[in-house]
Amino acid sequence: MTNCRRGRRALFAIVLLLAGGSTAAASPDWSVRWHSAARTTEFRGVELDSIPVADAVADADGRLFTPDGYAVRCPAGSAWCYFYRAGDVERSSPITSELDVSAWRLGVPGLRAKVSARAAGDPGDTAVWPGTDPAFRLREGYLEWAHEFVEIRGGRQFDPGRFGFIQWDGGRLRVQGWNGRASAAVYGGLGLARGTSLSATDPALDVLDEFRPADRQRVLGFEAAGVLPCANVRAQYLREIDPRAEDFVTERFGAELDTRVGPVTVNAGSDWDLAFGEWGTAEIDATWRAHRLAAVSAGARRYRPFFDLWTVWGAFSPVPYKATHASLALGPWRTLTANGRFEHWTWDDTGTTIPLVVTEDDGKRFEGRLAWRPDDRWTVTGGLQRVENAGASIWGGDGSVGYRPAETLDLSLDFGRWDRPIELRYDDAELTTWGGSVRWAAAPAVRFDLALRHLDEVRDRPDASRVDWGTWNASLGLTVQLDSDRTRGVPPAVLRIPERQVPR
Amino acid sequence: MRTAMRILLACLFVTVAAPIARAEFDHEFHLDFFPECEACHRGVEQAGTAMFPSPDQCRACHDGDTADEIDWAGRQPSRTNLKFTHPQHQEDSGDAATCTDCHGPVSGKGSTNFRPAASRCADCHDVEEHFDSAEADCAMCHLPLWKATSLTREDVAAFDPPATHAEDGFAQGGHGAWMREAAGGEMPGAKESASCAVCHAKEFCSQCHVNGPETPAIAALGSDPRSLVNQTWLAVPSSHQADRFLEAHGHDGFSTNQCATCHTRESCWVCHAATPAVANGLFGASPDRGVGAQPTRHKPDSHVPGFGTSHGPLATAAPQNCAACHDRSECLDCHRPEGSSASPGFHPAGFLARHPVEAYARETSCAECHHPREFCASCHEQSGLTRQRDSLLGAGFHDGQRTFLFGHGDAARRHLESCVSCHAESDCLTCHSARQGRGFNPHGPGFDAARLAEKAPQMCTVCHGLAIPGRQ
Repeated sequence: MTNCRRGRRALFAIVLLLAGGSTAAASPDWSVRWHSAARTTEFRGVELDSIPVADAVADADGRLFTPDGYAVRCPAGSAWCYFYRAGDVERSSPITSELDVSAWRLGVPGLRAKVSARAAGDPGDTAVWPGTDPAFRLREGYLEWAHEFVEIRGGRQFDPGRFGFIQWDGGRLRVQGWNGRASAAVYGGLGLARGTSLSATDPALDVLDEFRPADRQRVLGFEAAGVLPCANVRAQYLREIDPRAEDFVTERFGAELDTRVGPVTVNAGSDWDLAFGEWGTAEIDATWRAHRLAAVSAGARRYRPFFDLWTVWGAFSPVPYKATHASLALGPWRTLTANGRFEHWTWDDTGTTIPLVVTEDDGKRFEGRLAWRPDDRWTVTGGLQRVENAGASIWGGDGSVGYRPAETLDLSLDFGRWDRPIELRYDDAELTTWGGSVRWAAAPAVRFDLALRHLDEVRDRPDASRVDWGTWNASLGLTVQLDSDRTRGVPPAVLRIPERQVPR
Repeated sequence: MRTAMRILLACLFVTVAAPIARAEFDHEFHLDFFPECEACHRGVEQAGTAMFPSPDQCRACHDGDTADEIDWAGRQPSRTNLKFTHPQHQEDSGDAATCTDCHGPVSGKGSTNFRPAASRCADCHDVEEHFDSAEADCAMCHLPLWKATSLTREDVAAFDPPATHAEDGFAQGGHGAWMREAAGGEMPGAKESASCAVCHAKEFCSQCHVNGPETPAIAALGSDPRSLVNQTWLAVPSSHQADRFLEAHGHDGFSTNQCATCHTRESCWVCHAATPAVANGLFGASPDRGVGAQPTRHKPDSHVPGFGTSHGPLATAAPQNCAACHDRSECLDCHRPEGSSASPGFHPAGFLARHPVEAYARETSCAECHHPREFCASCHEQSGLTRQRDSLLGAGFHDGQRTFLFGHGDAARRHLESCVSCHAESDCLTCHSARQGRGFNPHGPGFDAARLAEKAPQMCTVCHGLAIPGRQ
């Protein structure tokens, strides 16, 4: 059975349950958020081409080119020379529609149902937007019963956390006590792939014709959290097992801490890849804020890529980088705020012994931004960004002018210009963008988003592969938020909060 | 002539009548005719009857013949909040008290000269000092405000505050402490608030105490809008000025009882929109209580610039803190395990055209929202960036480094996530496989082969087949 068909059946079952619950309950409450968007965007890649070795021409320095000026590479012994020419302009026009439905007051106190689904398609003429096949996907579809001390959930669900999104079809039991200051959860079921609502067995994830698991992994996770007098702590354990071989797919442990040391807020966390026996990603941040005047933050972090054991990539020993960073935000003026951030990172020794390719050992990032809000209607921002990194860098700046003529209407114009050289490819690109956006809450339950942007890109190369092109991108979004009764059970104070008065 | 005589007689009448005015009443002179006070002040003997003689009573003599006529209209009832009655005092004294014991000897003119001073009351009632004593039992002599109906709003406004009310902190916690002390450390009740009731009613207390209906000392008070002529305001408590109060007020020793003094549920819901149950310990605003102190919603200290991209550790360490103000759906606006919506979301405008630097730097893990194969590789393939299967040696995409293929290890171990956005496993296994290819060892420093062979032997077989090194 395909993932798509399973998703439809699960959705159908939940709709039946909702209908049944609605019939049983005197007056169920529900909330529906529907967001649809259409976009048209163009991009331009590269296209591999070749010529016979005999057709290659050499310049004065002995470098080989095609007759029309493309630099070529002619492998030893090959009859062909290869080169990349600028690809055709490819246009993609995806349309996505997302539906979130929640229902409660279903006749059983504490019972709630949630469905979140997504449909997507791309009628574009040349390119296909990612995530459009299969067109229908069920993100969440579960029933939940919550009591003061216990919460039970069954169905398709996900939990964002330290390990990213843990997604599974199954159950989750959570208990809490001491007035919510301690909680523990256990969950399990059949897992989904990372970063998508599809299972790892789905052919849509097999873009490059690689190994594809025959069965979905079994997921088992534990989580414990406590609110201590001096800190908030949380620990998580996750294991995923390939049921066919009983091999581990992942096994990870993570812990996090949020505390206060004098006037300084400190939060730290780390995870360990137990399957590989490697220390994973970790971070520690300290923030001190002098009321509204200034905020200073400093910290260190370690980033290590994570790969599951269904791939061989982890065995290639990716190395982590260690970074230190600091940021400063100033806001002593009523209408002007300024902030800046700096980070420097260094890669661990890779242990490679062939120094034929030299890459940067470290990287640094600087970002600075000013925001001026002379009144409630106008916002002017400007920022600079510089990132020097192995692989790719960027430097440039951007700015925007925002105007809010009414509570329901936001207008914005923006522009930006960046140089973005890529280290491993001979390609110094310049990018200039300018455009605008409109956000209009046409009614309390309806919002439109429109954006139109022009991009000019110059890929500067000393041969005929140089590209100078421009394109228009546009997007239109519609969000509808409907509720059984927008005010029932919602405190008046909440309804008075400005940002609650327009759908998000 | 006759007119002139009339004017003269009228002037004469006014001149004669004027000395009979209230302030000039001659008690000493009248004592000769009425030796007993009760002869005129009949109310002394019977509570509820008029204390002063009526004009008709005076006219029995002052009829213009026996004595001069008077124009006195009678004494208006006093606007007072005294709960004193003469018969009760007479009875309490065992009929031993005489009028002069309190009013002094009758002498001179005037009708107000004989009102005893409060100190005279205090002399007998064991009150050291009227009015300014913290222990004063005001209710002993004074009616509660809502029973002192003869007082006007102006009368109430003119009450002088006792000296205790000027003490530091009296308006905040001082008055409560004073009442608790008076109650012997117990919850103050009607007895302790009786003195307060002389000047105050429920309406006054409810200006700050939104839990008035549940506070015995306040609930014991009557209702009287006149009490609002004394306006008060609630200063922000010092505890609220403390650093990190916003984050800590949920669990740093504050009890809902304390909060309920000034706050209603509406106060909490200004911020706790996503978790309305958090306010269950407080009372809701209702007609019999005020709306309470209304906080202003603002970002906590942790939300420094850049927090949008760096909040992950804090959010996962203490999601309950986020949940205080944020609904899960707000998180899902960006955090969706399907980052390929047609509408712009997490990334800034034009991000697609400049994403390589973020992808290489991995400030945040792209794979958490984007499946590397479905999202990255599918797009890179359409852009011509993925490996062309028959031209691994000759494609030369990484032409920034002429010998990239032979020295790519350094870059690969640093940016493996970027590599796999274009390359399939089979690309690398062309060389890095023990079973096939050129047998280049891909394992780096610290590679724990034994652990991996134990955890996922199937993965080892991809390169090593069944001959996994070190395994039987």
